[in-house]
Amino acid sequence: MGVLNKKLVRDLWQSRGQFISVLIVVIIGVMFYSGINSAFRNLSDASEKYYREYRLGDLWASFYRAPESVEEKIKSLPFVKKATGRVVKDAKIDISEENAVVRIITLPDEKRDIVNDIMITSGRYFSVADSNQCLVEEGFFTAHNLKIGDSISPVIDGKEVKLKVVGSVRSPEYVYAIKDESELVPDNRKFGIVYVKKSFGQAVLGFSGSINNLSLLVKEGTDIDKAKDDVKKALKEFGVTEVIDRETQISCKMLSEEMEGLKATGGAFPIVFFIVAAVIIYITMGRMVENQRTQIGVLKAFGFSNLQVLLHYLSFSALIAILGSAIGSLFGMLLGKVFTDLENLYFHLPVTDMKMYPELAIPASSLTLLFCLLAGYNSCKRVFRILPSEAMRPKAPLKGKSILIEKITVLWSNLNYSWKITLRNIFRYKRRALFTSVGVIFASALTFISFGRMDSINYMIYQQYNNIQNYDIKVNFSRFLNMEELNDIRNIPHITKLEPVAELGAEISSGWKKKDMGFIALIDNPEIYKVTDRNGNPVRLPADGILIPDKLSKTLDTRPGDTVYVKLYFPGKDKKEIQVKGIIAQYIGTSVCSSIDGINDLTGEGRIANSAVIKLDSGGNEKQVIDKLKEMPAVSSIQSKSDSLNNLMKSMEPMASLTWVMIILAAVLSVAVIYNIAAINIFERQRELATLKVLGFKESEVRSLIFNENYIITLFGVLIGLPFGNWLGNLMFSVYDTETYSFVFVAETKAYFLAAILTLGFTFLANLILTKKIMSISMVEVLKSRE
Amino acid sequence: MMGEKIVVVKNLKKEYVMGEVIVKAANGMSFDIDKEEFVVVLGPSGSGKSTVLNIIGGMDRPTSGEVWVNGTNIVGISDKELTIYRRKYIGFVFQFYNLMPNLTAIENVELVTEVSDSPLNAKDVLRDVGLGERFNNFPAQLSGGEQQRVAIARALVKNPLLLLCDEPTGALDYKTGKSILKLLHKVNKEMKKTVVIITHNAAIAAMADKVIRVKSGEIESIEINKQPQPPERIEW
Repeated sequence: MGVLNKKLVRDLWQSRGQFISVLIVVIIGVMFYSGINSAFRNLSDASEKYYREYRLGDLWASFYRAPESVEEKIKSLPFVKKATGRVVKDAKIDISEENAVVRIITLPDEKRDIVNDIMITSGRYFSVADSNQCLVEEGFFTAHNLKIGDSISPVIDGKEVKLKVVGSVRSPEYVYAIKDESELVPDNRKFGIVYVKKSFGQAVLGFSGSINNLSLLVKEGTDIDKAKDDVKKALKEFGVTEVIDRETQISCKMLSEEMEGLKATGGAFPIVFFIVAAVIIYITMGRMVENQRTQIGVLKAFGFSNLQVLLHYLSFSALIAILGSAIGSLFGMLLGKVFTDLENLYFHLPVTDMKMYPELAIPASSLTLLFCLLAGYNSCKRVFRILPSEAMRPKAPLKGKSILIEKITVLWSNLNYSWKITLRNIFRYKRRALFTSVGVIFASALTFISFGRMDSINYMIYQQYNNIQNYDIKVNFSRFLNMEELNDIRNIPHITKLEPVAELGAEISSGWKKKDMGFIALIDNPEIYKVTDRNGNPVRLPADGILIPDKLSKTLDTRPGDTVYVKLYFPGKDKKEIQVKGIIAQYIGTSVCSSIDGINDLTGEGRIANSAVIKLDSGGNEKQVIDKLKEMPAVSSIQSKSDSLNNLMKSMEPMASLTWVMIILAAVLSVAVIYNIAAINIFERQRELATLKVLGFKESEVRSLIFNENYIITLFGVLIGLPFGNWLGNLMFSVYDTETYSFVFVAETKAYFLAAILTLGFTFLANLILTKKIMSISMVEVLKSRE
Repeated sequence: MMGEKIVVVKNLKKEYVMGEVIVKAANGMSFDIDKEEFVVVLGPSGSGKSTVLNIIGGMDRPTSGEVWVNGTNIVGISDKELTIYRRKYIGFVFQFYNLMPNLTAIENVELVTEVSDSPLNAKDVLRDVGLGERFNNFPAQLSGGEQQRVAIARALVKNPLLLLCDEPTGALDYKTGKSILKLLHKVNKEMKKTVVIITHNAAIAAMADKVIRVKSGEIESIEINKQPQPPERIEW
């Protein structure tokens, strides 16, 4: 086979442009396969190890107050392996000109193995000396440039409490450090975790001898749902507010959802590239065998076996697969690091030993080989049918054929000949045109999804922050206030409107199905904290009964008119039957809604609120109002909408850059396919092109014969690709559409146009590259030769 | 006007570099072609006859020399001007026809009228070459002779100054070849077109007004045929 290999190398050199472009597509596919998958493995290994070594809880129970002895009571439950009682309390803090919130969590005075342990990243654990030592979560620590020995002063019960920073830490509980589900992305400047000595914390937080939170590890094989119920029962008398497991714990949930998304992308994304590579190989190899049939005939006539000839041609695709997976895996390992770093911008995982996974090259290369060889075999198997005697006779001339469009005489007779040739050629090689469009379909869908993705994120943010939360400031209170107490706030200058809000936790159940979620009560006809349906129209709050989010309606299989049981996490309240009056849309965090009167019916505590939303006369006065609010003892935290919006936008920036990465990839796909298939087209039709040149057609007129064909195929591809992209976008978003966040794929009209224009632009680019190929056709050489 | 020189070739040289060897395809050829003349360029393969035709046809450029066509030296003009030159003045007929496989007979002819300033009527020309019945057939549905007729019609329809034919009968059988020669003869005599045929078939020389013999890139002889034979009498 030595000489055949020489032929292989020379053939490769001749069609190097095509070879390289398929190779690039394969490399990208493999690169993303191993890149995304190694990022997935890095995250999953790191989180698993982290969760295990630092004993992330299986269950968390929050309650109003219980004596410390309750820890022993819980430990005596048969399924409990380990339990740690603590006090958890949010406090506001003024730090580097930012009004932030810190979650104060108590840790044992002396280091011991507890549930939800911490990992010290700098400094040390508490010493016996000062009582006011604290450890600060690393994100907050770095965001505020804290140093060991600095002090911070959160406001607890209206008093500044000075804490001395002795170290920075990480916790498996706060890998994704957001305060609650109303936030989408972490803002390390606005929210942090501060750990204090248990004895000190209990004293300053007003929890002497008592706790309000328990973290549990359960024994293997425990039924988590049953365990949750048992814990709820055991803590009933202490006013349980919630018992959650890892599936609902925010940080855990966000991380596992992210990993799920990575896994789905890591599977689907590369496949697109493999399919496109396979398509190109199939068409190119098929044409190559067809164009070399004389040579094949000669080889066979000289006694080469079918298998030898087949293997010779298959080595093209094998070479692409082997080179592609080797280079792709190499780059993939680097890309894996980039992806892991990118994820770690949001998720604080101790990925200390970022690993390369060379073994990922095995599935990657098997997959590539499978695709390439299958495509290669299918196009080369016609080698078997070529008889030497036949192959050495000249090929039957190409047949021209009338096409269906010609029946529409008005249209056809107005077309110039260049278009007639183009259209007939497309229909003569229908299959080739269809295969080319597969590449264009993927490319335009990918481009469309990248734009649609940004549109959808913006849509969600707009709905949440302009339509639903139409306030400037939200202020939370450390206790429930009655309506009269709110007047003090109303009287602050520049506040034009204030609406009280009550936010609680609740367990909603219907039959055997139940769900823990937020419960929010608003005034009648709210204007600044609205409830809307999926179309953004306001929904009236019923005088009695509740509105439920559409997700819950699905989970509980409940429709308006049905009744559900609501158990408010409010000390001493039992569950009550209540009617569902309507369905509402929510985008960030979900909660059940009622009127403030409605919550009075449930609690019997009167019209009360634990937070309020405020509208200002002008944004410029925001700081002034916030300063006034901070002085009020009942205020526990203040949220400025513009702040959270800015932070959200900033955190979305890396996501936006991903849009362009996706578009570049789409361009590569598109250009590779068009370039390859047009290269065949040009090669096979060089006679026609040369003839046109001789007849005195200008270069541009000659080129348009090939280019118009590419544009038609592109238009066809876009026509299919856009709806396909819309469908695919919905499918992709459904992975992220969870109980907590509602991601709907909403592409603006602009996205359709942009995707169409860009896809045509990709073809324009491919055409530019092809120009040289067409220009270099020599009239003399081509026209003198026999076909 | 018979006798007016429409092509003047002076000291034409064409060299190809093939690896390390320089091939001299044309080594100082000089000749001219009169208006309405029927010229046969005769020579064995590799003699450089095609090279000359390609250069006159504006498909190729010489290494040195002058080629005056209708008063313009086409050696110095730009690629764009050369395209216009081919479009306006040259009708080409090839050994292997080179029709657009995707266009019917009539469409192949009409195609040219699209880029031509003062084209003849495509249907008339196709009828003139004897293909009145086969307007709507695709090339693959036509015989070799019929395809060559379409090719001639395509060359004629733009009303060219020069009809250049490169081995027009080379791919055809004796009878068909002869009928194509008859057609070319008719084109020359009745339509008053200047026709240049290059061939290795010495028998065809008998019908020429002027025979230019070429050998190894040089002109061997130029002879004026006092009594050209009609194609019917030619045998080979």
